Amino acid sequence: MIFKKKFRNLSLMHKLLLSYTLLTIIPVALLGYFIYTAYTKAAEEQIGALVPQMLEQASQQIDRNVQDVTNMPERLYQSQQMIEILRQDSFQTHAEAMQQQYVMERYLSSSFLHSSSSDLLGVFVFSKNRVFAATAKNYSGFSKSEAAVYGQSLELEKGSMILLPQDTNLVFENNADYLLIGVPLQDRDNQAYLGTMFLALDVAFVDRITGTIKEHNAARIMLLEKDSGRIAYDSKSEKSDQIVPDDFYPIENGSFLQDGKLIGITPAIQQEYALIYEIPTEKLFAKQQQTRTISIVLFLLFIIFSVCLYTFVAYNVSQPIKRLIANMRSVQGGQFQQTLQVTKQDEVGRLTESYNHMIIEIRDLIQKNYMIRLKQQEAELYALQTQINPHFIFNTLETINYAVEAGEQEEVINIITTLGRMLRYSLDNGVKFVSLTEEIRHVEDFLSIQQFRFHDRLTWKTDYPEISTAVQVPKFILQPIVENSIKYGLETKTSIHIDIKIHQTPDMLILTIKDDGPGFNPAVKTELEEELSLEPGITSKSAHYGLSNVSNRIKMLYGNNYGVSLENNQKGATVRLYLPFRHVSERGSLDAEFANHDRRG
Amino acid sequence: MQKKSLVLLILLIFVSACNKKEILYVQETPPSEPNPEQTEQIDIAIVPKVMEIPYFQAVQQGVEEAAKSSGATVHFKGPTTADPSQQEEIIRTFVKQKVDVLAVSVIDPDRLSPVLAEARRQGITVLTWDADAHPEARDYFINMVDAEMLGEHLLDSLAAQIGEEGEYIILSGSQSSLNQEEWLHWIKQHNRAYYPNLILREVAYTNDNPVTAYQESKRVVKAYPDLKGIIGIASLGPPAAAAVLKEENVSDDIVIVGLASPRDMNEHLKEGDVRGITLWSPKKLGFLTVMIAKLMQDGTEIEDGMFIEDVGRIQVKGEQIIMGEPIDFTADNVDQYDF
Repeated sequence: MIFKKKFRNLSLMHKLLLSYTLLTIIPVALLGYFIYTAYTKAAEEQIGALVPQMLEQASQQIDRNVQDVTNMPERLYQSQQMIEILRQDSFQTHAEAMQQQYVMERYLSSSFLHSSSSDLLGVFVFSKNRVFAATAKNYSGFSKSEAAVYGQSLELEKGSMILLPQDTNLVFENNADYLLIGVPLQDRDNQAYLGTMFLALDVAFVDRITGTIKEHNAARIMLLEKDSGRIAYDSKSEKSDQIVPDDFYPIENGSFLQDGKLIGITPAIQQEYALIYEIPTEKLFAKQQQTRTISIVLFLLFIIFSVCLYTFVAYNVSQPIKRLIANMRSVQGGQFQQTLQVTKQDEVGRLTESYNHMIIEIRDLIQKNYMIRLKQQEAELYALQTQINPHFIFNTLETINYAVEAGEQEEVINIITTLGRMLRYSLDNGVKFVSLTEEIRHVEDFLSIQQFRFHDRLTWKTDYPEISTAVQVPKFILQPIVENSIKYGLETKTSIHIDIKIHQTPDMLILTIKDDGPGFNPAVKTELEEELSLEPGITSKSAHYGLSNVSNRIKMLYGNNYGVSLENNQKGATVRLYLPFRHVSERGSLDAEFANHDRRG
Repeated sequence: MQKKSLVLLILLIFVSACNKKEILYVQETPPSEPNPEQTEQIDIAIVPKVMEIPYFQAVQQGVEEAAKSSGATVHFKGPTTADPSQQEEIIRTFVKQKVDVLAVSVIDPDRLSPVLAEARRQGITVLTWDADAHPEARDYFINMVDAEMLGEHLLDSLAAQIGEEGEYIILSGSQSSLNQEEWLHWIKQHNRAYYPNLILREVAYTNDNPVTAYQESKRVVKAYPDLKGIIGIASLGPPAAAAVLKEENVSDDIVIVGLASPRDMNEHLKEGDVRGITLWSPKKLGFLTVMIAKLMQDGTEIEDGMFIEDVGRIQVKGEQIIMGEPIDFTADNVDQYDF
């Protein structure tokens, strides 16, 4: 459960890596491990089965050798003379006894020691308190007194027996190890006991038999007497008095692994001995060991390589998502400007694409709906405000007052008529678009009322083509600019001339308002131009509210291709309004366009 | 977490050799010593021709020896005289007792073969020894020596002593004894082939009776004044003949060879009346008979060249088991044998 929870909270990249490890490395490792162990096990079992068979052959050969030696006393029966000597008891003359000794020992020597290529070290015959001996090597011990002991025990047992060097005091020169095989001699014709023959068999014969299975002396071969645990032969150490405990070998015939050694055991010599074969497994499985090392190295390389590769792949998957996350965060903070680059056409690429699309949509929505509505409302409010400035009305009324006092009745009528016309123009609220002529007349009315006030200080000139009546423009686009000119011009100068010109290009209408006032202060101009170049709706509440408001309205209505430009000429300032050239007949469609704009937002 | 599992895995891979005794393979030990302890006691009945002659007494000693070493129950019983009907009676008693093996030295094959065949039908292993029955009545005949070789050897020893010419007679046991007849056959064959100047005058029969043997010896010595040699092929023959020759004082003129117990001939040999006598060891024969009976009962196949403990190698020719070579007894070695 903890693991599940932890896993859930891991990052995608770690999840991918972990899944990969679980799905690839662990199965491969387990598979490799199991294949290797199964293989080793199979190989061990195969060799384990082979070793006892091999041993059994050697054991059979040893058995045969021992059996051959055990059967050797038969040779004695072939010589009637020898049997006759043995039948004699020891009560004879010394000369006779010596003669018999000589004959017997010569016979033993010729027909036992030199007759075959056996490994006999010596032959001893104990009979009736006599010892006949023929040996290939000098020896000591084994005198008459002992002869009686072994002879009697053998007579009782009525069978052959095998003695180890520890059992008797017989010692050969060079301390050669031997198996002493005792065989009772029977007078077959009289069915009586004649004596005992001992044949000392050099254990080197085991060495010779097992030579082929020793594998360059890597293996150790032992011949063990089962009952006493004594070692009769050991290929690794000479003269071992070591006693092997009874339960050291768990089985009688077979093979097993212990302490890194493979040990094979098989019974030998009438089941009374055990032939043991020991070989270190590293000798046996040297090649497998090498294969294992190589496999492990390859496996580690595979892990390193695949983890690198997979990290790369996981990174490639998770990185775009991380980028998306970062971008989403910035969107959360209100930054809609940045979209992401789409580099791939996979799921993540498509996701990014969709995301980009969404961001753009959201951005458009915000701009074209929310901001536009806001600006529109602001602009409309301003338009309302600018219809008739109370200050202007106050000034006009003051002028009328002076005129009445001066008795200039005609002038008063003129001003009042003009003011009334202006008020009517302003009051016509439902209409957003007017003909250019109407707009120009309204500006002329405004200028003429101002002229009543300023007299010669203000002069103007309007110039517009015939087409003006048929051209539609937004209401109140000229008045704020003219107002500005008068305001700043008369602040610094005694008189000002305002020149209003209408140009027409094939698809554009250019309204130029030119004055000979002080012109724009360069710093203010840069600031203004910057503001005008901005997207509509992102207008700061600046001091130049009039200008930017006009610019915004034009841009909102017609797009960014249209707007307001500022310029300082030789003396004074020039403001140009760029509008599309539209006929009055298109008035409806203009409204429709606006409505379209509206809906899209 | 990944690192841990990786480390674990690598550790797992490396920990493959362990120090416990791990048994890889157990070979089935081939059935060792063929039933070392016989659970079922074997009854072996040995029937000699007669009980109270030295030859069969020696056989009895061998039989007892073998009974001791083999652990089998051995019954040794024969007729008091070499009487086929008595022997038949004894055999019938043993068959009734349902012995496992019946080994008989057959007095009269014609008389006894039906009884033996009957015993065989009842599932008893029937052996003959010393003297054979008809082949269909027994499983094996245990022969002491090769008949041809023995016949030739006896004639050769006689010829050597009398100079390959002259008259001789043969003292056999009974006409019905198949092996004595066979030896006779080989002696005659050998005589015809190699010794044209040796003349066989008569084959006399002792009927395995010491008295008959004595009487017959006496008769032939008197009947053939030019007699040079006697071959005794029944064990009672040579001692009886030797005694007769001594009585008649013709020990130096007539040579005795043949089959006889050394104990019976001891004096004659030592005194020089008889130079040599031939026999096998009846002890060994008794011993071998019991051993063969035991082996057969254990289910062991009897093979040529087989080694029998305390006997040596035996020859097997068809249904005949041959114990070995005959022994020649002389004054020098006769003391070595106690039968």
